[in-house]
Amino acid sequence: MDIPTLSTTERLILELLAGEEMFGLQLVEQSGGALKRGTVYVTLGRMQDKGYVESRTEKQPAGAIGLPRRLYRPTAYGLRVLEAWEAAARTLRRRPHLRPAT
Amino acid sequence: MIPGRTLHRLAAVICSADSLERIVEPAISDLQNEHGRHGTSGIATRVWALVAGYAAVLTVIIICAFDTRIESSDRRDLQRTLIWTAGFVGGVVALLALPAVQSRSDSVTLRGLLPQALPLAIPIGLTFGIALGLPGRSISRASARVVVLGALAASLVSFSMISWIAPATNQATRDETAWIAGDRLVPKGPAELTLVDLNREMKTAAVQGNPRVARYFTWTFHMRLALSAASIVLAVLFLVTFSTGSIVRGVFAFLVCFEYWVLLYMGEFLGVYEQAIPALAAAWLPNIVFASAAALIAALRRSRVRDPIAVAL
Repeated sequence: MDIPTLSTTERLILELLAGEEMFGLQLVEQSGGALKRGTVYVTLGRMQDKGYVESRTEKQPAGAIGLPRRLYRPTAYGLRVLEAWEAAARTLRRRPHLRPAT
Repeated sequence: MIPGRTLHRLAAVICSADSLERIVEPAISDLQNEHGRHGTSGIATRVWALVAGYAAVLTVIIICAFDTRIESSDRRDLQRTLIWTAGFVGGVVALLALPAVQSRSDSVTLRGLLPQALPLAIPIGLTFGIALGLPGRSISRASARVVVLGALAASLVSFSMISWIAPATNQATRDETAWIAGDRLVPKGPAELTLVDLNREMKTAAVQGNPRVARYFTWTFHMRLALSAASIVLAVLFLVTFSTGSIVRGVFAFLVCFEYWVLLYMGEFLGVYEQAIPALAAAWLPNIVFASAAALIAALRRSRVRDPIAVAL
């Protein structure tokens, strides 16, 4: 079984989505500039491929024009990967002797 | 106004169906929603929101365009296309260089020949490569995307060759030949002028009241641009043409290349000597003709798909 990887951007997205479902643009706004509008959708697509997030299209009111928006939320698997990463980060912070010598 | 509709149509052509639905459409829907939200804001806010939104959608489309997940059958077709293209480019370069090599075979001559021959050999090679390499059945969108990107790269190579490298090597060849013969350096002729030089000569001739010379330099300037774009135009033409066997497509490729050559010289005759059409239009005449043919064929194919009864009849 492949070990799941989690980039900095993916971790940030999972942390933001852990609280509530969001649109792509909301993620960019909530990230305070850490996420870029041109690449967040590509990253979300990749995270869907990995099984970290899932999405649904928003139900549009009658008479609405334009494309329906897509809402993203983390999967249970994505939240477990995030928890595992955070646990590893806490362990390394508590045990500095595990880090490589500088 | 609903922003993003043109980009949506563009993305539908360039990107895969999966990328369009999962990645591009969320970006466009956010752009549209943001535009609606800013409906009552000041014009500067609305314009900035639109610009940022369009830039983001374009970035997404470009990233998805390069996401080419090729099936193994498509990979074989593309490899075959590449091999035929390389073979024909090499063959055409050899044919074009043969007379010069036969008359004088030295490193100076050979070095100068390649940059001159490649801008002609590349579109011819790509045309035959696509005609013979891709199958008679409809090709996948991913393969078409790779072919278009390859044609774009070929156009950029042609452009750099014809605009700067060929003129520079021509002049270097002339200087070296003159030095070997013991003569002083020779001034640049039209074939040794870069695009910047041609643009300057065009304007100088116009100011000096020499319209025929101005038309000639105008035609030469735009002919170089048009020849660089020939790879894209001919690639698109062959991607939309009817599905037939490779022999018919090979013959069609030969006729297209021959016709391109005829239109190129017809354009020069009509635009520079007869003054029947503007020099700019004369230079772009072959590309205009074949791009129009490609658009017509694509429209005819789309109308046949929409009307299955007509297809059945």
